[in-house]
Amino acid sequence: MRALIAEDEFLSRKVLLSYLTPLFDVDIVVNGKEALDAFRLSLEEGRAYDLILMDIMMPEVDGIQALEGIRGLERERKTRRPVRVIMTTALDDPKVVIRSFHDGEASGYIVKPVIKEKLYAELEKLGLLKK
Amino acid sequence: MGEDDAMVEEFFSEVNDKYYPQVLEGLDLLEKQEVAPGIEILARPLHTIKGVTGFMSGFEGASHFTHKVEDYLKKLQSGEVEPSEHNVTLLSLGVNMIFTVIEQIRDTGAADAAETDEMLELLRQASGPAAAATVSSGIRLEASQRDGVLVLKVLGRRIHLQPEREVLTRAVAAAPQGGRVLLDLSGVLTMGSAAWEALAALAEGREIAVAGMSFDCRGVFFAWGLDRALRAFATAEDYFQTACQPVQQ
Repeated sequence: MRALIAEDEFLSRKVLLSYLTPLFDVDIVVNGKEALDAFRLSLEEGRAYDLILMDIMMPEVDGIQALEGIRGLERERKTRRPVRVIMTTALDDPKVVIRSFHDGEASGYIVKPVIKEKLYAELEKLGLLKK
Repeated sequence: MGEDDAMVEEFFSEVNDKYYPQVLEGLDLLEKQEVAPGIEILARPLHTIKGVTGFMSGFEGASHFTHKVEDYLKKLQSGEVEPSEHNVTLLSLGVNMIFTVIEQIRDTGAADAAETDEMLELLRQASGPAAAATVSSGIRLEASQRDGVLVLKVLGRRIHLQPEREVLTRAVAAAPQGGRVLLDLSGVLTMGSAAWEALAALAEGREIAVAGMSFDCRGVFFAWGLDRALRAFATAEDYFQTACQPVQQ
């Protein structure tokens, strides 16, 4: 299975990578624009991601804009199985949470710090990890 | 205002302004048998309610319930569950109950567990026999005494599976030999022949009557000749007023 980490902070990237490496073949990008590019490339290669961990506060294109772009691409290409996207953020601002689920159809939402148990529980809920 | 309060306030504001109108539109389409577009419209508000209530302290039960309804919706969408009239009606009932649940939690702090459990059981049953077989009974009985008669009101829509039959037969068998039992089935939609046969067997030592049968229940009841063992009445009140006047076939 493939996963993409979109995260602009070095330490967070390192921690998330250590959590996901045992489970996924992981790629890393540092902003929303790169996340969108990586996702597009994965579709073109026919090797779609199974999971994206998307930070919300990122430079250039933020996580929510990137997520909306990803969903748009999926609709355009009539993807049968939308990628599971877990939003990660330091803030649980109500408007951002609601927008993530409603406009971006996020699969999950984790408030930082992302600890292993919290992440793995979310992966279990999404059927990406068995107990 | 705390973060939780802010989330709850923002959520209910969105529910009233955005999700509820979307859901009404979706339900309206389902009612017109326009199942695919109805599901398409319902999917997003349900997904949002599931996700956001998961973040609201105290509303985790609403998130879990919505998650189950959303799962059922996806199965209907994919064709895994046949979009029959019954199954689509079940989706409408489940979606409506989501709003009842979130309002109950907001107003009283908890949802009615009996109601939500019953709905989840119906969704599980409609999702396939394998799923149904793994769950316990989805019915409950409300017992009372009147004029020396044990009145058992069945709270549940269907009595087919073994766990459901057992709830029923155990309660009836608790009545002493020679005792009188009235089963109020006014809330039951369908009841399998095995359940009827189990009741008939218990009627050998007891006087058992049934009241409030649905059209489907009556069909099985009379087709299997259960009127030879059990007496049938239109309503529980009729039973007590007419006592020995069975309903005409």
